Amino acid sequence: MRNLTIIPACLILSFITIFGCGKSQPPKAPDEVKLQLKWLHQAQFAGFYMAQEKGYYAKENIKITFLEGGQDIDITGSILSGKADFGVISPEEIISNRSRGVPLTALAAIYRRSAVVFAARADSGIVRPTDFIGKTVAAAGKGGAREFELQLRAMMRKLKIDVSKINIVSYDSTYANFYSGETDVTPAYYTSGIIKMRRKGLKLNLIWPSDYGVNFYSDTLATTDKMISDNPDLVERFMRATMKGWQDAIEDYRRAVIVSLKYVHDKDSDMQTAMMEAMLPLVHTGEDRIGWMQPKVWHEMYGTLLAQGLLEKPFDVDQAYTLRFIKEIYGGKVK
Amino acid sequence: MKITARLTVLFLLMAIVPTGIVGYLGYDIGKRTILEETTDHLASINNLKTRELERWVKDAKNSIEELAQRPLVRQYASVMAASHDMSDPAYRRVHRNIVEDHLKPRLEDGVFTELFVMCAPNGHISASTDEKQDGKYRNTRRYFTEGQSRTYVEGSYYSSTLEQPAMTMSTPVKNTDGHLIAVLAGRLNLGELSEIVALQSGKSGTLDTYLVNTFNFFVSEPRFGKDYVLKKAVRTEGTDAGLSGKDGFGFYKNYRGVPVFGAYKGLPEFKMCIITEIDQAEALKPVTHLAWVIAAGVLVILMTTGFLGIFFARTISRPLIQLAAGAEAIGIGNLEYRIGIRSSDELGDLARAINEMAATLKETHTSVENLQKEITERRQAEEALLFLSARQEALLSAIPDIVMEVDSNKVYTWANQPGIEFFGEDVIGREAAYYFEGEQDTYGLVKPIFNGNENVIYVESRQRRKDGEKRLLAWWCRVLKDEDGNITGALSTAHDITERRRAEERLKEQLEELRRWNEAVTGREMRNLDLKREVNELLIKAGLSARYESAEE
Repeated sequence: MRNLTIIPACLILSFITIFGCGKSQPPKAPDEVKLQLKWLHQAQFAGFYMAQEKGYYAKENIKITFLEGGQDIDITGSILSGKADFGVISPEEIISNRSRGVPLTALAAIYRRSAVVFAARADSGIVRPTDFIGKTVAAAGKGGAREFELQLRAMMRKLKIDVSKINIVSYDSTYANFYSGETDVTPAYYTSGIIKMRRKGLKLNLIWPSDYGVNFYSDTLATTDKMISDNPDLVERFMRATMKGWQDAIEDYRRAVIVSLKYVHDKDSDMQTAMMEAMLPLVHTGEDRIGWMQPKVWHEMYGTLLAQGLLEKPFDVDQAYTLRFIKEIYGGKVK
Repeated sequence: MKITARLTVLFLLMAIVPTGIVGYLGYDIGKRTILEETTDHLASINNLKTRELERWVKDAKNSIEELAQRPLVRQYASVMAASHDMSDPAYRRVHRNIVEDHLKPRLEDGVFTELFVMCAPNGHISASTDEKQDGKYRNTRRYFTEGQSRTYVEGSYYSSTLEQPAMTMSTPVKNTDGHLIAVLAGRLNLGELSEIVALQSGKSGTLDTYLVNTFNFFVSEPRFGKDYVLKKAVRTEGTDAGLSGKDGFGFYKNYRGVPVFGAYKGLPEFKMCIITEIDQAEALKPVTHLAWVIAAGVLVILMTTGFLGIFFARTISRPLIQLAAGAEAIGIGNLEYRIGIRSSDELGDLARAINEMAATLKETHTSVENLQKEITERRQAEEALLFLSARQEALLSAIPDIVMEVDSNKVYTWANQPGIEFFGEDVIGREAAYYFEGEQDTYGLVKPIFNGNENVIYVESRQRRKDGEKRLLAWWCRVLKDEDGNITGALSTAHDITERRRAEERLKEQLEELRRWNEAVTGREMRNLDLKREVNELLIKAGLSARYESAEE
């Protein structure tokens, strides 16, 4: 009999030990995480807002702060200096920095298709890159616009077209020259510029670099090597919350727009909705899970940048990204 | 609770319980049947749509495979694979031929929206029915990599190039040696797919069939959504179950947040599931209708039973009230009261019985009344008698004389206080002769009384007093008779005359002595007188005057 009474007593004790002690410990203070955004608040970052609004960060014991990007914000610098723990940054930035020995590593590709697209008027007869020959393309630029020229050159290189036959002029973010017909082709982000042009009533032919073998990721989520080695647990938690947020944003983009409107400066709901709609196929490509990266694409991007002489020195591009965390949060499931 | 209310409630309960049970069973069976039918209906829609979908895909497969196996197509493809130069007239001719003669006519079937040939190994689109697609590279696309070895269907996805949802089927194009030359691909017409899936027969207002892919996105337009294909995700109990490969049905909230009854079926070969839903409100409409009909039926039954209950309760309670009133009236003594129920049922019997009881009671009451009266009279008589007897007793006790009663055997049966004091406490039960002293013929003297010849006899008798002294008692005996005149005994009074007799005897002796003395005195007087006369005579003779007056004077 005595033995029988011991069993429930032990059970009760173990419950007290497990749950009681668990409760008696003060909750661990949330980890403060700062995320450097690539640009100003807009629907482009809807997944992050969703993760915050739905409490996914809080659930992972993370207190998130969004740091806005902008014309003069050095995204890489922000991450490297420790001002931000994570950053939304283009893969070209990561690869070129990495070639200079800067310890940046991509964790996930948010935009797995580049939003960079070349637009020509529908009546211009320009439907493919070969048609660019002898035309004016407003793709030259620095900073953010640099990827336009990069992709244009990569595309032409793939198609073995002599770039010198194309009249490359400076990128004009107002598209005034394009509207006026001064330039025949302008690169633009599918998620913003194209929407603006179409809202003006323009009928466009879109030429996607990806259709011509230039596969670039757009927004990637990156952090420093130090963060990965020192605090892998935090990285994993941050990634899990973020990817859940993006999943929700993709699955219910109308709600994602509503959530995004709380953050954005441009409260134009139609614009943000259009941006969100444009983003969907770039984030969710129908292949693999959201955020998943393919080594092949990294190698292609590296190859393109290297071929254009944009890298300081060659390096092992596999160091520029890690699938460790994305595999961890999806339990190894690609799809 | 009054009997009417109780009976009514009882009737209602008796009605409500069975009708409730029957109603519920009816409802439950009806509901099950309706739900089973709905389930079958939804599941059959799913099966039907799945078969249509499979046939559609199979047709598409057959179509694209047939194209890929055409000798001319293979021939053209090998020419194009060899040269990508649009400036080459041979290339241009082949390009035109393949597009115009083979690919474009096939679009007329409506299964594909675009057909294109990708050359191995770089995925370059060398010919497309959409000339804008010419020259693009598809080397990274799965439909190209997978399509090199077999006929492959790329799951639905949103094509940024086409700016529309796409589902692409691809198949290898091989030369006569069996070497891969190109991959022939076709964009499946998702509009047609949506039409096939969404096409409804019947009048249902909410029946909705749609496809959802493994990314939880709509693949076909749902009935109540616009532009949802690959733009909107849906996560419901139905999609979760369907996408996990299950085939079944359930109640849950759908993509509109509306409670629905849905059947799901996994389509793993398409990486999708098919969902057919109907709003619960509509699916359960017949059930609700049934419930209303049953509820109305139950209500009608209840109302009828209620009224009947009240009616029957009244038919029972009214005579009962009459009976109660009658019993009350009779109870308080109105034995003249008669209950006016003439019915031939038990209540009538009861009323008659009560009436009879009242009648009998009345009779009994009368005799009791008489008896009471008699008792009262008797009691009064007894009281009077008691009073009298006490008075007599007092009287008898007040008499200083002895009063004794004997029965016909001359045994004392009663004595008054002086009697008891004379004879002693144990006198009752003793024969009179016990106290006699000396020879006497007292019995003989009183015999006439007991013979009935005399009523009263005086007799003197010497008797022994309780202290043993002999006393002379003077008895007055009087006969006692019963109602029939039979002699029952005698009542006698006795007076102790011992002293008086002695006094009388002494007086008699004294009187005798006095008489004798008187006689003596009287003789001397006479002699005196004689002497005086002789003196006088002698004095006269002596001449002298008479000295004495004459005694004769």
